[in-house]
Amino acid sequence: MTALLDIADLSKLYPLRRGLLATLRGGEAPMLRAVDGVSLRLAAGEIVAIVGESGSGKTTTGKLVTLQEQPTSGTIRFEGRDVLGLRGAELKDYRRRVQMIFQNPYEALDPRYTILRTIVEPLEIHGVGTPGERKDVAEAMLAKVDLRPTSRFANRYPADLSGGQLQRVAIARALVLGPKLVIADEPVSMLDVSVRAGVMNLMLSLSAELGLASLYITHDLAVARAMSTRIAVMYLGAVVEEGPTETLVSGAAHPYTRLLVGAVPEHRAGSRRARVRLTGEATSVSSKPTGCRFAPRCPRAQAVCTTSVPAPVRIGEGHWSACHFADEVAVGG
Amino acid sequence: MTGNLFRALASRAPFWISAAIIVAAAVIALLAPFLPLADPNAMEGAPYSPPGAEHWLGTDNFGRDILSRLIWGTRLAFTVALVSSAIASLLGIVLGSIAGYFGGPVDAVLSRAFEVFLLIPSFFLVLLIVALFGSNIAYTMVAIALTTWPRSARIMRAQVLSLKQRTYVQAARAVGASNTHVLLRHVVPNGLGPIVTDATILMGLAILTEAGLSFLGLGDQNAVSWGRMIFEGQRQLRLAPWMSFFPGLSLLLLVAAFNLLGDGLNQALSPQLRRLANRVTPRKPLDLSAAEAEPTPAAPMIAVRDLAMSYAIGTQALRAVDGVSFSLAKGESLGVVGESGCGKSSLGAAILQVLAPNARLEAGDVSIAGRPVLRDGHTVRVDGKPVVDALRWKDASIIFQSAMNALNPVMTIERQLSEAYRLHRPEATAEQARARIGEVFELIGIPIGRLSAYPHELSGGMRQRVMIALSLLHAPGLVIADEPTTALDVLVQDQILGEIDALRRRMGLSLILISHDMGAVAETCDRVAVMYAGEFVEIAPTDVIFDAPRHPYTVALLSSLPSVTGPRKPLTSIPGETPSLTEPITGCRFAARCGRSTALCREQAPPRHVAGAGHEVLCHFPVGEAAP
Repeated sequence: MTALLDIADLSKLYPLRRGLLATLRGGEAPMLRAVDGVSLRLAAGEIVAIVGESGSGKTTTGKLVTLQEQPTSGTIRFEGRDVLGLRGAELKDYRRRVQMIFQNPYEALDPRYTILRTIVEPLEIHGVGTPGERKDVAEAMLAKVDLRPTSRFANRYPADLSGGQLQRVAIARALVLGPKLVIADEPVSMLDVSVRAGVMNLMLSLSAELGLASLYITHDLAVARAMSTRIAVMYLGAVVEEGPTETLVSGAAHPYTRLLVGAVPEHRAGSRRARVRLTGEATSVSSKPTGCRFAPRCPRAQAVCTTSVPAPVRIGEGHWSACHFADEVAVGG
Repeated sequence: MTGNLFRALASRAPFWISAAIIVAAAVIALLAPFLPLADPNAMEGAPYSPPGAEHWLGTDNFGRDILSRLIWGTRLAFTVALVSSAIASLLGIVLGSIAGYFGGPVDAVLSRAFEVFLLIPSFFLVLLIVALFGSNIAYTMVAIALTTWPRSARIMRAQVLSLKQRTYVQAARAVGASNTHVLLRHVVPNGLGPIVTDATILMGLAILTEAGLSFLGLGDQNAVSWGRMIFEGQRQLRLAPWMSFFPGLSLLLLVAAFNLLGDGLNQALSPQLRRLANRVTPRKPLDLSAAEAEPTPAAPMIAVRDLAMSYAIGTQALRAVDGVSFSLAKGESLGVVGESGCGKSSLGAAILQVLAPNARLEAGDVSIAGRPVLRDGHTVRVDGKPVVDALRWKDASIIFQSAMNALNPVMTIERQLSEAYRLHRPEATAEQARARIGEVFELIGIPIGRLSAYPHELSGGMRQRVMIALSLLHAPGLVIADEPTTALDVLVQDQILGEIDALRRRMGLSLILISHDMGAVAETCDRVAVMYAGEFVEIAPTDVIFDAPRHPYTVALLSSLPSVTGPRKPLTSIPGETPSLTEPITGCRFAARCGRSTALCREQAPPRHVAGAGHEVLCHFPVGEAAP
């Protein structure tokens, strides 16, 4: 089976500023390894979540796939074709089939555009239909994202709508061109709890109805669990564990994932658990790591963890973990 | 949007006066050819006639009518103002946008060009033009435009630089829009505001420059200009002061009007300045004698009754906290959960009276450690000093969400903490302060070596720990933590919540944890209050809130949350939106979104229903009773 999206060994390095003296002294310039050798495959219609903390490179990965940023190395294939070499009409066609939903709905819509015009614009850019047809398609889309009656919303401006409604508009705009893949970067993290579930359910039902594949980027493991069938956990630019959602949540095989699962506070009485004492915070990597990235914070790190980069260990069907002790961790260690 | 702008301008007299002056002058200038005026260049009157019936403003040395010349001069002033500021703005918009949008070498070259043009004095440029081509009003206008456009260009460049980072601009690109499309449809239209504002100031500047040039004899010799009139008048200042007085006054009025108009627009468009305009006068404080403010023995750590606070938003009042009551014993912890805008942060600020300029305490009583700090909405003072000021930090402290904003970036951590310590204990020496800071750091797990660091040298989690240390310096009995971990990553959040919890147990602290995160509250608090639209709709022991909630909002909120370790269940959403708190609300605030609501709910405010020990519900038909 060819994957819909096939990312292989993708990296994005940003040069770090250094002082005049260091520049004069020469040597290798320090680079921020925002994304460092990420590989990921998505089948048509599949929803994969990328979970990670700030600085894990999850957002940059999304930007690379939507070509908002050029990767330093690696390949991105969409329906078997290399995406990075696309130019002109082919590039425009790719942009049509791969859409993006952004985190901040208050910022994602032009304040001077009415809601209807916002949704019509992508159709205009791609020259779809006549002006009348575009308007009809856009109105149908508004109804699809439950902004009904559409006449109540069509001619209003973003400033008149709430966060949840704005995110529905953003979803409508992303879907109006009939994409095959949607990259959603924390689409509900800025929404209030009471409207969050509505937007999540909407995305799930539309994905099923339209056969959409999604790359769902989030810091929230609970949201990732509700939204995806597979989860990739990123830490400091690299995927450290990947697996089917339920397997990963209940039987994580990487110490970082284990900690992450344990750190999410549960909204149940008496839910306080014994905490693993964890030291330090994630610090960005500026040179090629010689060992495991998580070793400095890992409660079970051994000597080998700082001297050798762990290779992915296969745990089960579609489940692997980049940890020297993956097998032990997986059985609950 | 236009409506908002209009409202923001409505209360500004200088703006409307200057607008009226400009409109009146413009009408006169437009009508000049149709008014029964003498020919401005005709030398018909007697020279040096003072203002009188025949020549209202007198005549000049050639016997020309001053009124007529003044009005024709207005025409010239407007022409110069409009044409040169239009040229300057247009050039500025085009070149500034290109520089800002494309950046890199394009920006580098254009930015240097802006700077070079800014350095050319307009007088020098006009001198050059006059020397080369002769004097002509068109050349003057072009010269003025050429020396002022870099100002617009720099404004536009800055606008575009910030706009191109906006998500909606990136969104348009991601959808496949071309650079031209993005620039013309999304970036430029959104960046024009300040350019328009600045154009009015440019107009004033242009009029002044033209007058100055004419005064020096560099203007168009054939045009009737105020500057030229002043120039001709100044030689006859004693003989015929009216010759220069009237054009001088007109010049002053019109230029001042343009500048005030620009200022007014600028203020109306700038949110920071607009917020200041909403400053409210607080209610009168209540002075008590020291004896009256003595602590009540055996009082709870904090008692709050019917507390209400509002914000002035334009001409409206938003009741953010509306009748909240609770009390907290020593060592007890209360979680306040709710969605954004429900008033939970305002509640924390209202309790300790840390108020925004547009916030006002409206009603209620608050006492901390038995001492009254608020009575009937009036701040309690003893000897002219608010009691709460003496209690804040020493007996009750607050931890804010954004640690970076709360710390001074140019002072070391040690100095900030030491100052905070000695502020309330002036007798303490630097060594004593240091010793206490050391104790607190050890308690929270900050390496003592970090004391000499500046805030930016610390990680987010470490900064938040410093804020917690600050709040614990004086060993207060009560700590209010307002979203203390929201900006942090989940692993760090977990640690800090754990540390707050451990500290509370060890030191017998009373804690109010304000959070949008039900999970954070569930793990840390004895009791939980659910806040909705300014009210506590339900308050109960933590296990009761989660296991047997009675308010329909609490129930709905809990079933809309995804879980990591619990059973995977479909999420239910709450329809509708939270009500606006600037409008009066009749009946239950949740009625419009509630599946159980009836006519009664929409008409009558719900009663406070006691559902069990320490369990109160603000509902006509609590969940678990027979449905209506």
